[in-house]
Amino acid sequence: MKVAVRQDLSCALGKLKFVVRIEKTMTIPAVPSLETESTRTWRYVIAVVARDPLSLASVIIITVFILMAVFANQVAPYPEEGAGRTNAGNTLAAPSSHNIFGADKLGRDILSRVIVGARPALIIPIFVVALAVLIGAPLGALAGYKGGWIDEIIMRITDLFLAFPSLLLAMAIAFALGRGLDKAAIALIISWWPWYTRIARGVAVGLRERYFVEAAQASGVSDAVIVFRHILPNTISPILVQATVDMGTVILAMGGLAFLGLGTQPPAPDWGLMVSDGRTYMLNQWWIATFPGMAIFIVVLAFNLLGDTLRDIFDPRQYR
Amino acid sequence: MTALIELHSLKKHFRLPGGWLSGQIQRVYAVDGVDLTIASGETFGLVGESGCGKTTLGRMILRLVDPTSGQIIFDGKDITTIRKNKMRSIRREMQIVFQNPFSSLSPRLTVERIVAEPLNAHKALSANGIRDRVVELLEQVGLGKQHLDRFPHEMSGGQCQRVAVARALALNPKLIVLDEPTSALDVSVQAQIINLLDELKQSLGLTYLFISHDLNVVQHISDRIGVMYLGKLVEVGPAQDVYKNPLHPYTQALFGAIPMPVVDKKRELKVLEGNVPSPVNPPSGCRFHTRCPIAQKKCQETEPVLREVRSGRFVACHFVD
Repeated sequence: MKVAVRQDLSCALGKLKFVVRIEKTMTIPAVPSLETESTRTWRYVIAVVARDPLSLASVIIITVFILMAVFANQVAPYPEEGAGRTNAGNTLAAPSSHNIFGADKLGRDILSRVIVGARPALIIPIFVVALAVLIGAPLGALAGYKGGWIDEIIMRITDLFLAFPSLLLAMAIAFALGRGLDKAAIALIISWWPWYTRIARGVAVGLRERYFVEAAQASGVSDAVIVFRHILPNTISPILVQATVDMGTVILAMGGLAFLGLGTQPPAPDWGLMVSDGRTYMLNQWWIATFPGMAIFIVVLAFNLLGDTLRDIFDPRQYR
Repeated sequence: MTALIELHSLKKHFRLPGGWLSGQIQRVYAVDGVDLTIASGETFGLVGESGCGKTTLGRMILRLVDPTSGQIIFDGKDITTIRKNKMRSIRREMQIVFQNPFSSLSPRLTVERIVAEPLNAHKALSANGIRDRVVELLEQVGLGKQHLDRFPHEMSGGQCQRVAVARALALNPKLIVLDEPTSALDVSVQAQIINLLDELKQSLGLTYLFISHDLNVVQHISDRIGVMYLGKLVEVGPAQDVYKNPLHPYTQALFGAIPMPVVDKKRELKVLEGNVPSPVNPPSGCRFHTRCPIAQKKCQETEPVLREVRSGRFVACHFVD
């Protein structure tokens, strides 16, 4: 079966947004239908990943980063420095065989700090975005489907949150909750979910008028089932795209909070914080900001590609 | 013949957005006073131009749209203002098949889940029973087991429409509203679906409200026909009689416009002048007077009522005897 595939690779880093569009025709292997549903689904997932080198790359990159985060203490050349021990004799050392990525202003090995910092950099954004989607999307689907006063109440509440810049709101909440990574994550979830409500509602309003929703109503299907079976699954594509883009934004926002002493507590490593620390040394010691920045870039790109893969997997129009 | 559906001066006015500043609230008179009785086991064909309110009427019967005023009596029960949770149990007895099969089937569900949905919603059967019932339904509409795992986009329009019919049949309804079920299909497939619907009606004792603008199809399948113009019924009667001898000037023009495969020199086309007036500002008196070839002054002033001019034939016109 020949299928035309279009992929938008988008990546947001701060105010910069990159979009690469790739169009190509692909051959999907036909899967015999004599299997049970779960093995077929798995074979399909593998087929989707395997047929597309970019999907494969994203899965591999994310797996590598996850393994790196799990075995940080085994992989990092100087785990103690990664965790925060200073090395006064090595201040601002340039990349060398001793410190492959160089050292920062306190002489800590940057490679080690990037590796140890992978743990919060992966867990927190996944956690924040997943919870924001879980809270935001069903509310948006409900608002769009029901309309009327339910819609008004939900959307006016989201307006309340969206009226403040998300980072500023997250700062205020994190400040009220106190120091700590967990509190920063909660603050980010609170300021992030309304975006998903917005997206889900926009799609749901269009779906409400569709015949298949009306047919379900006519069959006597309850509103809850309609929202979860007919509305939500159809809002998943735009939400996945937004969620993967937000991964990067959250990593940077975590850095912003850490900079104010609200998120990651120094001397624990944080990619975003490392980038903002390194900014002042950019002209003479470029490696301090560059390597954590590259780590953010690669992870965000991988999540973006993974988002596209997930969208393909969830879209039955490309099935078989 | 017992009445399955009775409509008494049923109205639906849609409010147009805006106007609250100028104080002028505009309304669309989509359905404006329809009285109609559909007998059990009958196929009632509802025809009319686009925008005449025929689809709104069908949706009101299913309570997908709430009527502005009037009364809907289904199987002896007044369902006009019935509450939503009670309506759910009545929904088992009335179903709808939509015009476009591709948009009436959820793109993310398999055929099995689509057809099983009404059964699940009413917890009618056990899990195994549901699968058997789905296969039975698919066989009834000329599909089979091999279609269970298909997605709508993997099937043709005709097959999709068969799935939509199977879903409508799932709960053994008494009434099925067919909202232009064939207009999105190829002509050859149209005939197949029409024949399927006819067979199902015979074997299951169904009642149809067949909404269409295709007069040939309606005439073929219906026992009786109702012609709508701007939210009102202008003529009701047995299908063959109305088809062969239309009485209302609008029906005459409508049926005169059917394309015929045979060139008939004697047949002169009565083409209606002008467009359908807006249902926001319907004309006074008889709504058809702006385009009627036989309109008189009286037509602008008084509105004709739907009256029985011959046995079983109802016409809303001052000049038909």
